[in-house]
Amino acid sequence: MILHRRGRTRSYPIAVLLLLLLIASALVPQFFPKNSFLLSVLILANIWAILAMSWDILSGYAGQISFGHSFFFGLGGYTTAFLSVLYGWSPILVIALGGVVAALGGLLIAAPALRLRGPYLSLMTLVAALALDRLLRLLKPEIGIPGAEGAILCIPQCLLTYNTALKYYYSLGLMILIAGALYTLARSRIGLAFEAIRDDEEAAQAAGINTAKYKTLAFAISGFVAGVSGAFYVYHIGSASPSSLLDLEHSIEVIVAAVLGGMGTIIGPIFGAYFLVLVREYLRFLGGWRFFVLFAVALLVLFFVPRGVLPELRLKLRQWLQSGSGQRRNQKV
Amino acid sequence: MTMKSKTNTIGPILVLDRLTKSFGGLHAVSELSFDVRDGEILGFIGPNGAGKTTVFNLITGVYRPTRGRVLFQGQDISGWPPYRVVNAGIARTFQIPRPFRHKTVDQNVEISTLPNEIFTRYPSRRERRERVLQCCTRTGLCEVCGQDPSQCHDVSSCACRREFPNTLPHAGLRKLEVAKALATEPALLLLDEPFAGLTVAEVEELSELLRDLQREGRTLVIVDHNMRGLMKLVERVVVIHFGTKLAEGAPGEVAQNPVVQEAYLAGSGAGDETA
Repeated sequence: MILHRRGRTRSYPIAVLLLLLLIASALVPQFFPKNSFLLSVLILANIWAILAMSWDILSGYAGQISFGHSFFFGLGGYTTAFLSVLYGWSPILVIALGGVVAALGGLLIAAPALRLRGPYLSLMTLVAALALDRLLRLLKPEIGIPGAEGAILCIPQCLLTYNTALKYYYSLGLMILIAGALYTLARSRIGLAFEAIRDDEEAAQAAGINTAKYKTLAFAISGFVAGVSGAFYVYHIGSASPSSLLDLEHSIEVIVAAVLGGMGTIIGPIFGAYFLVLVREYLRFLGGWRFFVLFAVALLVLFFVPRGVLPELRLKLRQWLQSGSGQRRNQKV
Repeated sequence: MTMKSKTNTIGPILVLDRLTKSFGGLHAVSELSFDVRDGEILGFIGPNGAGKTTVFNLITGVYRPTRGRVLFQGQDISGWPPYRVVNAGIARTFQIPRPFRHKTVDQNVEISTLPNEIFTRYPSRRERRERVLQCCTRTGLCEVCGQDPSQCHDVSSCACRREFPNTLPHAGLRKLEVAKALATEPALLLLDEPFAGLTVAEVEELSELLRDLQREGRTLVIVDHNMRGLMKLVERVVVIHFGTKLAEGAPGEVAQNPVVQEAYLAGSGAGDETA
């Protein structure tokens, strides 16, 4: 067992809340069977949640702040589009391979990243995403959509199903699976090593931790998960293009989502991603204003609860429970 | 073996062999050679800026020596990355405590027990937790966190699980540094000014712990900028100044050494501290 539990950070109220939300999200297609727009939006939210969690394990836990997560998202997405068009393999295999290629991309980035720290590292991830974007725009048009630089249309090869409800369940299942895996990892001794590196790299080395190895691992894991989200995204929209996969705004939005929800919590970024996608898609009547609303809210949250919504909620709930019972809760494991 | 033979019967655990470190044109450490004998407590003294911390950084692999070698238990460890040096059996504490701020006290210690293999069952979680508990109780961290150590049988009930480093007093942070170093199970412990900012009673308590560690067979090197606090604790001192060795010997002799007194008077006007 690499899992180790910590009495003081366990919060049952949050667990109950998550369970209720989980049940609610499983029932959405039952209550809104005709609302395929809602389901599409929620599929998108699940994809963004996966991407935000992948950012969180690398940046929130291991402290390697990535400004170019679209690099991994794009690698996974393009791998998927190529493989499905060229070979027509099964979606599970293709999505997994998308993750593997993005994980290799993570290793590629990690090699130089080990020599860089702080803003230099972040800048490098950003430039890597830009470089991939420009590279893909050079793709020969024969394979892609005429007139669109570097775009690949992969319908019908990469179409999971015409049933939107079913696709929604796939995305929800994948999101929950990844959330569970990353949460377990973050709580394991490996997550603890990540956090040691984040808090003080030199002190982590003095504690005997091979920081280069753990950082490389964080890049590979984060790359894999981000690649899977990119792969699923291509299956969702049926095409891959630099503008849809490698837009730098994705890289920024994913940070906003993770920080709003709560960096270094894995679960918080899911909330952040849902908020982001729901505002973006449901406030369409506001036109361009919806982005302003989104980022203005983000600024307010950053100012008033810089640690993010989930940690704040957890703290408030615990304080409320403690004042209610009037005594310290037993800390048995 | 390349180990230098000394007149004493116990061989050196650590040998610095003409160690030199230059930062650009500045020689922070130059041609420094001395031995640390197995099982001793060595005082490593020098005025501020003499290069003591740089020497620690050279031994622990934070810096790569410009010239010269570091031999640990007969093995050349110069240029090894820090984690390898630690796992070979050399642990260090920092002059200014460097806790992991977002982790609880017990997790701060636990980090020192983590293996570097991704897939391994050794050391098991139970073993690691026992080691954490041991380090917390014997360094007095349980009391610092507000618990009678006799009540602390198991990590899950240990008060160190509830406290974060920012709630600890200064002496508590010093103890945490020692506990973190101890949890790596070192043969050689390098302590960088462990007594700085402690009260007389706290110095005495920590000295007792350090003597205990020596009795267990560990070797200790203690950095300080004056000898007063170390006189009763150490058997031997090495004094450095401007990165070179000034004197070596029993604390009493070295304190009388005119060259040493000169260095302190010229350096910072703190000459009275050496006596």
